[in-house]
Amino acid sequence: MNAQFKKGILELVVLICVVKRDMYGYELVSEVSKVIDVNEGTIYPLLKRLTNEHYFETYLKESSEGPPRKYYKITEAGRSYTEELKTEWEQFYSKVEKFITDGLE
Amino acid sequence: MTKAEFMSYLDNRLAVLNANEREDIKQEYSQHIDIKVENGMTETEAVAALGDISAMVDEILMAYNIDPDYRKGKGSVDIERIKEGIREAGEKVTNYVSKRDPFDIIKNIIMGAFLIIMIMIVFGIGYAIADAVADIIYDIMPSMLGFDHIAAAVIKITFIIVFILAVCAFIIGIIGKKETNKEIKKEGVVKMENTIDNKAAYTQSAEKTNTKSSSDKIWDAAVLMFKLFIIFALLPAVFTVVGSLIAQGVLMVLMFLGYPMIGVNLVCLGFNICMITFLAVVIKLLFGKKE
Repeated sequence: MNAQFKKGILELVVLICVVKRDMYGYELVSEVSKVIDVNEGTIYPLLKRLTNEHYFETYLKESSEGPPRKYYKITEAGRSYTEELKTEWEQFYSKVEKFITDGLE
Repeated sequence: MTKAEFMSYLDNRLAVLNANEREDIKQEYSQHIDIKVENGMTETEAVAALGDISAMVDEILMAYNIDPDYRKGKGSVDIERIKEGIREAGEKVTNYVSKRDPFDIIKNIIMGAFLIIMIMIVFGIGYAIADAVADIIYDIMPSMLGFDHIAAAVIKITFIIVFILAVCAFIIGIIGKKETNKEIKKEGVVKMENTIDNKAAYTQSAEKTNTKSSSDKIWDAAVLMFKLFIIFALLPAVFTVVGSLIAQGVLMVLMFLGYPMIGVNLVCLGFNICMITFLAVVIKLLFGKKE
């Protein structure tokens, strides 16, 4: 799959995952991989950045399978940022789609 | 790479971060690797699955607004960085020199010399005045315990310090003004570049005004210094005119009181008209707006 496509949409996919429910790192990587095939290495720095920008909050939750896990949770700022991105994506997608279908009927 | 090696790599690259932050990041990766190992991978495979680790850590540092090139590893001298730095510096110098006319550089040097000479002359005059004031104080003050010497020295030193500060502030002011002009023009250029038409014309004229303002900077400063010098030099003339106007007034009164002073009055009048015209021309030249 085109690397540029994946790179562009990764942030939105990660945000939407966390909007749907709080997740920890490994879980997020799995969920995102179901949608787009990305290098795991690219996700953790992105999580760090989104947390530092206060779109995510983190908290620790005990786990039965080992040490406590750090969960990511969306903030209000994160929610509105996600809405913005979602709208941008929808507009972008529909314009591109229209352009493609117009030319190539 | 084993998990332990990966952890110490993180310690190294993330040394610049808070200990808490660093441990937090290491912990998360550690958990990730552990889960992968539980699901059947080996440690080495799990670490490899993370991909390009160096680029990954660069991204992490950028999330903290830290330049990833900062301290790549404790205590290691990054030769590549040094070579890169030298090459960049060399490029900047050649760019600077080649973008300017040789003419411009010579102009800059001449303006600079002119400016320095002007500053020295103004300083000389100012120092002479300070010296005279110091001498007066010296004569007035009673010679107790050498206070008169101290007072005179203090006045001269104060003058020198104030003068140097004034010149620095003056030069910074001139350069600062020109800088903001350049910045506004640069912004204009960036916005204009978004439109395809006018790009060539606008950036060209902006570049012209940009190069103009750099040698203009020094020229303006030198000219201002020169004006200051002229003002200093003409101070005696101003006092003379004031005196002669007062004299003129007295002579007029005497004339109307009946004294035969018509000739003297006319001479004085003529002198005053000449001086005032002369001073008016000088003031217009000094303070008139350039077209």
